[in-house]
Amino acid sequence: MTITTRDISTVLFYLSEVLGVRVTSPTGERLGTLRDLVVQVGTDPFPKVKGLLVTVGGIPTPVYVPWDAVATIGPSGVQLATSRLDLRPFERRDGEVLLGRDVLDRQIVDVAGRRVVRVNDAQLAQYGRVLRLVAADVSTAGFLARVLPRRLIEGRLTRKLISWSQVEFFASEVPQVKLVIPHDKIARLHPADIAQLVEELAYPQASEVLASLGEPLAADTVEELEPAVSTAIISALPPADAADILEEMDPDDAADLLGELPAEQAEGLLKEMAADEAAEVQKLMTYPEDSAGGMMTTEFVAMPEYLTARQAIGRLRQQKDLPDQIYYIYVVDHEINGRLVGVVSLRQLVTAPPDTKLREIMTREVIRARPADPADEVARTIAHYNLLALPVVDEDDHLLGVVTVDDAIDVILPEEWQRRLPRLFR
Amino acid sequence: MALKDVWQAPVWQIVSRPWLSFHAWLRRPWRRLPLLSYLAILGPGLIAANAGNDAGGIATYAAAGASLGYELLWMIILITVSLIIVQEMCARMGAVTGKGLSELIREQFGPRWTVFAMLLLLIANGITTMSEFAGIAASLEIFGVTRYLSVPVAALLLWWLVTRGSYEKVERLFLVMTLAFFAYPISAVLAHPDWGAVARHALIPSFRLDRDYIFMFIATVGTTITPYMQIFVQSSVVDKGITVREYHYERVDVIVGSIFGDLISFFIIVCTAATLYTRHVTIETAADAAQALIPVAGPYAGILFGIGLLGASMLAAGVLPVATAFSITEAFGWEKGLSFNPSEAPVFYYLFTSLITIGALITLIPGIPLIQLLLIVQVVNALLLVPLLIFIVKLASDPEVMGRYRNGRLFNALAWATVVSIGALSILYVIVGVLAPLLGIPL
Repeated sequence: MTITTRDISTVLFYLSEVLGVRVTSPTGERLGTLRDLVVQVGTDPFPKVKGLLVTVGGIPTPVYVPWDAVATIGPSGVQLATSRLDLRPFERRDGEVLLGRDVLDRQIVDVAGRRVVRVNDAQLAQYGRVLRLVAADVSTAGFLARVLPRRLIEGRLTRKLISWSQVEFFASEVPQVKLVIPHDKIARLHPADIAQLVEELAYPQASEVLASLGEPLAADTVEELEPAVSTAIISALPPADAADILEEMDPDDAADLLGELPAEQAEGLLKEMAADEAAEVQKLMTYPEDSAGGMMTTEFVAMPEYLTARQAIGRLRQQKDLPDQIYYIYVVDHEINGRLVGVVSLRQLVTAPPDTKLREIMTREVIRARPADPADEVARTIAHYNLLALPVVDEDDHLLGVVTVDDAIDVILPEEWQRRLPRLFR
Repeated sequence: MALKDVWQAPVWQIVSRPWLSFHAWLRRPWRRLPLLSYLAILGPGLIAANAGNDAGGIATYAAAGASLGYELLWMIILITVSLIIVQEMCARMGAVTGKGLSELIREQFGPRWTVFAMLLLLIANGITTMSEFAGIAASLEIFGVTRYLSVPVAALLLWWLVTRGSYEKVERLFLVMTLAFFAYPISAVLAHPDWGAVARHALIPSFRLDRDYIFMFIATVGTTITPYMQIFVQSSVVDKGITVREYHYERVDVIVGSIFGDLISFFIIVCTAATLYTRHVTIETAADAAQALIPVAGPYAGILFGIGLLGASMLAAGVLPVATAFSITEAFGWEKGLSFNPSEAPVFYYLFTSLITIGALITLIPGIPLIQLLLIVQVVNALLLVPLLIFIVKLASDPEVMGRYRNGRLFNALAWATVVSIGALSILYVIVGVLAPLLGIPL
């Protein structure tokens, strides 16, 4: 028996050891068999057991026994404090989860280990009058404990436990009851790590995570996801939530994602989005995916040539939604509808004397692409000239967007390599 | 979960019959040319359906036509309905839950049933892998290559290609090779079958309590509704990121795919019945089966058949071991996928490697009859299919798993009818084909 006594009043045992034990009355007569434990999952890091499910006689539907009616519980059996049972069949209530039915064998996220694991067994701890779920067993030993006869394995297994406070369980695993689970533990991870976890989950659980993150983080995460995963999540989310995430994403990534969805669904989401964001995305969607137009983002910084370095830096400071990458400031001849005449790197800008005009420090020979240029050519240009971004212009040299190096890498490198590259280059 | 660690889309989707390009294409109607739409559906659809016929499929349908003539045509039509029902359930489960079949079995039936189901799957896929190596051996024997050379080379090559992640690059070649089987419908027409008899046998069921007949019957069931195919369909739906909202497209895929696939099977039977059965040729080797293509290819029939069989066998032999290893490790929650190295995911690599090794070694047993081996594998597959189908129907009709997408009442009745008839047939076969000869009862 794996009961360990940490101190006088804490008793630990595994769920697999108590499921199926006898339930007896205060006088020791057999009343039935323990089938499951009901826990309240939510904000408590170690959920409390609220009651037991017990089958009585030969009737397969279990009855509910509230925790107050339990005198003792352990691998040797359950003794009740009363012999009177409420024999009405058990019905599920919101906020309640059945440990055996809903938690065992399901996938959870081990937040500290940043991986998705399956619950093979659960550890319970009784401290005084309170019984709590304290840990998930994710080891093969935990699995074997439920397959092989107890005699065979007793004392020979090394379990591997993860504290329940380090675990995220999913409400969408139990759609029959309403559950609210804040996924704040996952939200503390890096978007790239969240994306990796999300890719391993089934899409109902994945969209549950995304919906709980808050738009900016959710958008960063979706950008990191593979197309098959991100489209599934976006189409599983309520359209309003999906639209909020799409608005926060880079327009080129949002356009790629919408392009993968069925037409009517994409149109529906565009209607839900803010008009200006939607228009931008829609424009990008008209370019073929494997062209400069399809690769480019419309988020870039352009400034007229007559500004001084000081004024330019001032504008950067004031601009609200500055793009993620501003290594290059594109220089245009007019404030409105200007043509591309040069480029200033961020380095050039901050090192230039404050009163020099942009036109004096800019590089005039700007390597550029046309929207119809094929993707691999664009990628090769970026690689050849060691650029971080390549501007895309129309026939009159009006700036349409920029292709950033991260999207170029997607074209050139196989996926396996991309994962190994440092974050800056992705 | 996602199978992307094992596979980038194409092979999965092609081998699991739903129509990759057809599907992707249907999902983006605004990029569609209205006039060409039907052609574009037919093209990739037919190719994918064709690829669903692996070595065992070709051998079984050819043998069925050669030994029983048109007699089994009616059951091809009937089993297409069953195939659609089963594949639809699996695809729907994938779309609703986003989970694979082995995961759902684990979550809903617990660890003991999972061990049972995974054991079935391991045996079914193990022997099917073996049958693909038998297909490789048989096809190359047409070209005079001994199996003692072809099988070890193919096994090593496949192992190397898959672990290196380069299998994708060659799978297109194998796929193109299987186009050779489009010669069957043409050959069937050129062989001038008795169309009256074809129609009669296709529409009017007949049944005989004869050992050979039941053997062929159940082998045909086993190769049409293979256990692995059902798991693949679900995995590929999950992998493509299809949710309930897009499921109606996928349903069309499944139905059209099953019909196309079985249409080719139908013509293989018609063709071999018209060419081989009429001349009392029994299929002992691949060269015998190849004769059915003489009306279309003349002296090149052997080459054509050999190329097709080799492509189909290599296609499936590349996918089966790795997919099986994936399903099983997934159910138990072990590290899985080719993105891990062998020391990180030992069970995955161990399973994958042993499936290839054992499959290849068995076909090397001196004197083992390859075509017979292919047929027996299909029979065992049919026997293993029944418990797997019970899992599938129970899951697909469970409101806790499927919510409002669970099987409707009529659909469920049809699904159970499929399970019961295949079950009854299996029992009948075990009595007539295994127990009776063992006990010396004449039939």
